[in-house]
Amino acid sequence: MKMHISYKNIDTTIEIIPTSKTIKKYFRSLNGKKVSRKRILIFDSNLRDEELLKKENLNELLRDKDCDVDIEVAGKIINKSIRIIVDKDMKPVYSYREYEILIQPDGTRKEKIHSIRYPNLNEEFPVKISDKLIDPIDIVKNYIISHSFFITHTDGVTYKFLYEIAKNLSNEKKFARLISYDPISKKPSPLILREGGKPFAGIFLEGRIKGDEYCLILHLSEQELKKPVSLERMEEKNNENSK
Amino acid sequence: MARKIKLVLQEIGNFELSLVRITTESIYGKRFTEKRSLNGETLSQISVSLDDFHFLTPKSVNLIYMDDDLLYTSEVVPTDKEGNKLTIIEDMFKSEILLDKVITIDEFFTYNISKTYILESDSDFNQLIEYCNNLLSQNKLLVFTYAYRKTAYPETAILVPQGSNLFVEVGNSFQPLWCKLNVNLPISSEEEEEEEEIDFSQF
Repeated sequence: MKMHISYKNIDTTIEIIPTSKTIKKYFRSLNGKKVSRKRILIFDSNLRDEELLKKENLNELLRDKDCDVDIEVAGKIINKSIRIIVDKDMKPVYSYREYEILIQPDGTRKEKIHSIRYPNLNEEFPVKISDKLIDPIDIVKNYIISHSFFITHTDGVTYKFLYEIAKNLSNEKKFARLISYDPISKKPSPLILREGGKPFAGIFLEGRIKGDEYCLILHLSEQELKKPVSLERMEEKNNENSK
Repeated sequence: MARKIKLVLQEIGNFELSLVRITTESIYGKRFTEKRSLNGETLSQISVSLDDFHFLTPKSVNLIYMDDDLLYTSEVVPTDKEGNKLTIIEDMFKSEILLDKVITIDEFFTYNISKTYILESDSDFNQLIEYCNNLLSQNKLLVFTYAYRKTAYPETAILVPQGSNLFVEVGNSFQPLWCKLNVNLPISSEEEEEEEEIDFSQF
């Protein structure tokens, strides 16, 4: 993936590479044959709970006729499928509105018209490596780093640029805080890597050097390290009861 | 109901603690997208199989293991790509976990965290929190092998103290990627460059 960054008012485009790959898992049967996971149909929409409950004398039908099993359908292997939008009667719907719903930990419900999150990684406005440095221990104590990427150069000029950043951070023994911007409003906003992707509010850059080699790691966080409000309330209640 | 782990720190003692899962949802709330028809009815998204056009409602599909001859197998063995059996690790709730490994802060930043828990207990475990805080002041963190179930793919659990709370961050580590200049420029000495003449001949 390409990323447009700026450091001390100089901008350039560099490459970012995920630090980890998904582990491919292999399984064999007890007699040593290769196995893979298949999707098997149990019932289709004609035998869903809502349909079965419409039937009269359901108990008798279940006992005498196994009305919840369609032997023509059950056990079929599903190879390909697509996602569609349906109403309560399972009829496809093509015109609809999307809303973003947030149910807060205290139970309050908020909603707004859904808007697509556009990536802001490689836009006209670069992701700024700010001068504000942060102690690694503060990051350990306050943020959860769920994703990270290696930053690499694309040519000799970007090598020099990135080596300099890594050298400065390595000498300071601190991480740099990065600021990403909304491509439309140009205001600071969380980093989004893909369309509709997760917003990462915490963006930190770690730099190390070894001779003429550098290692720059972009650490991304979408969550602070803190105790959920629900647990805090439970503790307060317990304390009150014990008093 | 949170499951309990038994942590053993040789110099300090044994601690039976509940692992309480923390998610983005539990901190910031549950966020989702709801689709509504133009008359306000809440719609749902389902899958349609392209083989026979079956509408796949929730719980109508099961995942099973089959071999190349499409024969169902109930028990499978995790292997590597070549088919060699992998070592299975028992789940961490079965026995006591000895806290005898530490990582440095530099190593901490080679982990991508997949799950986070907070440790809770009715009894006092301040000694363990204090021990972790002291270690953190020396740029170190306690770690143990994380296996919620019997698995061939265990992860690493890192104990992270924050004031009077003790968190467990679970993840896998990666190797740092060192970058250096690697260009294929023509090798030429300064003397050769001086002698070099531009040749305009066409043939």
